[in-house]
This record gives sequence, C-alpha cells and structure tokens, in this order.
Amino acid sequence: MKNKFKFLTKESIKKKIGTKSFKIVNIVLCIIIVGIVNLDSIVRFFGGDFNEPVNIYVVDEIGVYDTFKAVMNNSYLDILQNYNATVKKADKDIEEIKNGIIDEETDDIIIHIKKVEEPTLERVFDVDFISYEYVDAVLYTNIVNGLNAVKENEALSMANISQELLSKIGKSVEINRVMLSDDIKEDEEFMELIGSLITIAFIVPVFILVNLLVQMIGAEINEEKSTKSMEIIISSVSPEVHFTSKLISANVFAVVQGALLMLYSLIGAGIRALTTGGISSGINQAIGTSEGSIDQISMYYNMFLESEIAHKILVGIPFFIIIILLSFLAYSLFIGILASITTSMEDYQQIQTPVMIFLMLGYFLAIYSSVFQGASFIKFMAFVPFISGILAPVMYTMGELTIVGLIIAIGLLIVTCALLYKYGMKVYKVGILNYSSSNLWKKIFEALKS
Amino acid sequence: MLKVEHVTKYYGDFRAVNDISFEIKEGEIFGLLGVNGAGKTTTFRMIMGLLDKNGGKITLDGKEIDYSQTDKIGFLTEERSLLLTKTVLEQAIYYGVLKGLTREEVETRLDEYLKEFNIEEYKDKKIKELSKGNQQKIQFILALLHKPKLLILDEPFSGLDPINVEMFKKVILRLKSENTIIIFSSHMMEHIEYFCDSLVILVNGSAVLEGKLSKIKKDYRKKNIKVIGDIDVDTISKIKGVVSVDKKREEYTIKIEDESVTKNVFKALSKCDNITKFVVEEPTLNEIFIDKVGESYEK
Repeated sequence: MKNKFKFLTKESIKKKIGTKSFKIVNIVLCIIIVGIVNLDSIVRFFGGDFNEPVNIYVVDEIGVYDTFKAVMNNSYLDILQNYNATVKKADKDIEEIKNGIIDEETDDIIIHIKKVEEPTLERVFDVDFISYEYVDAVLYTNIVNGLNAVKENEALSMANISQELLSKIGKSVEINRVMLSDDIKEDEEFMELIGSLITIAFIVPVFILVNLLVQMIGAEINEEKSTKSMEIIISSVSPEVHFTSKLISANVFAVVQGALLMLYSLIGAGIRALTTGGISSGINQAIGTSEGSIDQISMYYNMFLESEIAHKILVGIPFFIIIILLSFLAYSLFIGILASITTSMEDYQQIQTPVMIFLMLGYFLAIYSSVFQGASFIKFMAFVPFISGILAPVMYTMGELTIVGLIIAIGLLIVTCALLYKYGMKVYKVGILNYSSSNLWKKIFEALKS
Repeated sequence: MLKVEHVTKYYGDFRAVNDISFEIKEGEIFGLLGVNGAGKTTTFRMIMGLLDKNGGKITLDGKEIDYSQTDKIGFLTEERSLLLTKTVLEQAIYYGVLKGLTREEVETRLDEYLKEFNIEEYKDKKIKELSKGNQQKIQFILALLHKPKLLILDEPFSGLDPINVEMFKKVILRLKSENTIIIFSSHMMEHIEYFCDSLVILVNGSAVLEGKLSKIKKDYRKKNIKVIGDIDVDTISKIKGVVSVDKKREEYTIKIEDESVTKNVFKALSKCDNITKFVVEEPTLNEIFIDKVGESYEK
C-alpha cells in the first residue's frame, strides 16, 4: 500500500509538473515576470515621444534667468530629468521660437518673463507661459513653483531683505518627534509602511498559488470521477490513500510553482542589475528621485535591514511559511472534498466560486489592513482559517499581531485541517462514488453521521 | 471461492441490497442479473470492498475482502473507466502498478494481450484516439493484467462487433478453464445462458430467483412447444393451460402453463395436417427474466 501511495503521488505530481503545458506556462511566466521587473528598461528601449527632449526657453526682460535656472536645477532637477527637459536662455527672437514650435509641433515651452512698468512686492514681473499643446500638469506646476520662487526672491530684494536674513527666515522648523511607547524607535516610523508593502508584494504570489491549487486538485479528482476510472483506482487503494496522494501532489506543485516564481523574480532582478547598474534605479524612477539619489535609496535599504521591522519580518518568516503551507493544505482539503461530491466539471466550477470569494476576502482585507490599522474586525479575521494565510503575515508586519497571534492562527489552521480530514474523508468516500446530484446534501449529512 | 452471505446495504433509509447470498467456486461463471437500479452495482462495489455493508459477510477464499485482498480482483466496469489523455501503456502502468504489478510485468503482459486482441499498434496511442470497441478491448485487458482470482465483468460486450464478441468469449472461457471466479452481468440473456453456471436475479435489491441455471429452467413450470405445420390457432388457443400462440416465419411457439398441458396440445395437433415439428422446450432465460422481474414489479 505504501508503494501504491508513492506511485499515486508521483503520477499525480508528474501529471501537473511533467506536462508540456506546465513548461510552456512557466516559460511565459518567466518572460512576463522578468519583463515586469525590467518594464521601464523595455519601455525606454523601444523609445517614443516621451523620450523627446523638452526645451524650456526663457525670454528674460528683467535679468532673472540665472536665478530661475538655479532654482529649477537645484530644486526641480528630478522633474526636469524625468521629462528630459532643459532650461535654456532664448537665443532667438520670441516670434522665431514660436514659429519653430508651431512648424515642428514640439513640446518645447517658452517662459516669457516680462517687465512691469511699476513693480510692486505683489507684482514683480509678469510671465507668459507658451506651449503648442497642453503641458503635463506636474511639469507645469513645478515650473510655476520655480517662477514663484524667483518672484519671492526678487520681492525680498525689493524689500531690502538680505540673502543672509532670507536664509534665516527660510530655515525649516525643528521638529522633535516624541513617541510615548517604549517599544518603538522614532526613525522607524515609515519602516512599517515599507514592511507592509513588502508583505503585500509577498501575498500576491500566495493568492495566485492558492488559485492554481484549487484548479489543480479539483480538476484531477473531477477527471478521475467523470471518467469512472475512480472505481478502478478505489478498488486498488483506499480513498484515504487516494485523497492523501492528491493533497500531497497538489501542495508539492504549489510549493514548486512558488519557488519558480521567486526564481523568475530573481532572474529579473539580476538582469536589471546587469543592465541598469542596480535594482534601485527603477525605484528611483518610480518615486521620482534622481540617479544621484541611489545613495539615498541604499540608505533607506540599509536602514530597513537594520531596523526592528526587518528583524521582526525575519523572525516571522518561519511562521509565515507554516501558515501559508497550512493554508494551502486547508484549501486543498476543502476543495478536494467539494470536488468529490460534484458530478461534472461545470458543477465543480460553480461550487468553487464561494471558495474563491473567500480567498479574495482575505486578499482585500490584507490590502485594507494598512488603511484601517487597529480595526478589531480585521484583527479577528486574521485568525480565521483560510483567511489567516494571507492576512496574518500582513497584520504581524504592521505590528497588529504578535508572534503569539501567529501561533494561535497556526493552531487554528491545524485544528481546521484535522477536522476537515476527519469529517471530509467521510464525505469524500461517499462523494467519489456518487454520480447523481439528487439528494446530494442528504447523502453528505448521512455520510457525516455515519 | 467467493462467498456472499446475507449481505444487506442501506443508503440512509433506502435499502439497496436486501439479504442476498450466493457462492461461486473456482472456474465458475456466475450471472448477476437485474434491471437498472436493482442493486447490481452496489453488490459489485461491496464485493470489491468499495462500500461498507450494513449486514452480512463477503469472503474470498475464506478471508473477508479488504484492501489486502483487492489485488486479487479484476473489474470491468459497464461504462468506460479510462483516463482518456493517457496512452494505452501509461494507462496499463497506472492500473497495473495499483494492482501490485511492476512496470516491467505490466509491459510484458500488455504486449501479450495486445497481440492476442490484434491491437499491438495501439500501445503508444492515446485512449481518446481509439474507437469505442478498441477502448473496450483495452479496458478488458486492463482488468486481466494482474491475473485476478475474481473477475467482475459488467456488460463486457458493450460496443463490440460480433467478431470481437467471439474473441472476448474465447478469452472468458479460457479464464474459466484457468479456474478464475467470474461474475458476469449483462442485459443480453443469451450471453448469460452461454456462460453462466448459476445466477441470481435481483429486483429492488432482493434476489427473486437464484441457483443453477439448468435447475432454474427445469423448475420453471412454463414450457414452450415449437410446432411447424398447418395448425388451427383458435382451437389450440382455447385449450386450458395454453398461454399464447405466436408465429414467427413458419414456426409456431405455443406457451403452456406447465408440462401437463403438453398432452392436450399434442392431441389437438394430431388432428392437423403436415405437422413436421413438435418439440417441447424449456423457456429461454429472457422469458424467465421478464416473467420474474415483471411479476415482482407488479407486486
């Protein structure tokens, strides 16, 4: 019987992993994941309008060009780089520049700083902001901010306020951040956010894997049942052996697929490191910081690694893995039992819908948990089996759950799996040999009573 | 020997099998008959240990059937029970290993059977690519691969042409001569008559007729008289104890209530001209089946 169990499990794994479709799907997944990790490089490689340089021509009637350029290059360099924009002093007549823009339909901008007859502190100069079409709102706002800074500067000069005094006035307020809890450190305030972002990125593959698991185990049991080969199999091995082999093979598949997804991500990151000189370059572009701020990203990265939250996540990882594996098992047990009572693939598709909705509930609660921090309902749901696999790790990372909480969630999952196996087996034994949907619930209750 | 003793099975309040008993010796073919829903499949499943009984005992060679015994049982299901996406060899390995064979044993035996059934070229073909008849052959081969001591055949000739039916018959008779215990179920009564030494007819889970086929026929009171000649149908029909008179081509079949009526029929026929045939025959199993099952239905 032991050999038969091994054989059944191996065959079932082979059926999932040794197929052409598995190989093709994984090649496609690898390409997609590597592509997503390197999406910005791919977009840049193919080029397009976004990459066209934008010239910001300054027609200056009052001699503030240098100040404006300095403000833009010092304070808004990231924006200028993102839009591939350069501030230039107009070396031609304004009409000539306008005609050039019209003829070539470029995204170039003319900033015409005009002298006013009687300047006041409110009105130092006027500006015409000229472009061929709409200008991106971010670029527009930042140029206007730059012009406002120049105007403030000029107005302060007019009011006889020296640069020294101005820098004193402009000095930031010193904030002494005080937190009353002894358990937290002030410099880690935003690390929790980073931690929860990492965990949310972690739950997406879990969500995908549970989805795959549900499809795999259900389809296999349903196929054996609908082709009546179940009769022959069950006449050779007990339903317990049969079901256990399906559970193990489906879970092995989920773990292998999960490991492959991680491998593809690592390949993507490796390619990124080779082509762009660092994993963080994409982050820079995403958050709008300059290449020069890689050091800043590295600093955050190192801060994160050295932070309490990273330590907390590291401590939590073994528990996360146990919770996720137990959740896989709970889902496969539940869906296997459901698949055994269905009589066709259509039936199975319908019956799995509530399970998928339950899974989605866990997913969305995990997403909303950062918005509703401290919500008792979400905290309670983190212990509910089937949901805890996704929600508990996120709640733990956000500090809403302790290690004890994770252990309780694990305990509840173990109890759930044991009960599902004990009572589900009774239903499974009856279900796999049942080909009629009439009196189905009656048959299930009778099986449970037996 | 397979012994089924007072076996009963309930599904909730519904009694699917009611106190049935029979025994089958080595080298014997046993017919398990009944209309759809009579309890045949439940009985098969209990024999194979797939279902728990509510009462009674089923033993093979004196041992209660459980998963330590099931490798001795071969089962050919009424419907196809093959995984369509597997090749014939893969399917054979799948079922063969589950019945305790090694892969090598499976392949050797599969080659032998494929040769016997003239389908060697299908070894690496997918099941779904085969015709219905060839799928049935494969299914039959898979039931035999592990040389079972007890073979259950549920409608084995389904989807077969007459030539293949003869091929199957030959193999079944060979298995009988090799002392295999065979349970045979079919709605084709001529096949049951051809193969079975004993039988049981189930109606609503209960046995309405059981025993040796020869004895069942002998004990059955109604007989048939086959006559060829110019007979007066009206006169014969009016004889007390004559149930019916039917004509098929030249031959008349006079159904009588029991053998004592033969004398009166013979007397009446002696007055008719050109009588070239007068034979008293036992009824066919089909007639007995319809009679018994119909009777029980009416009850």
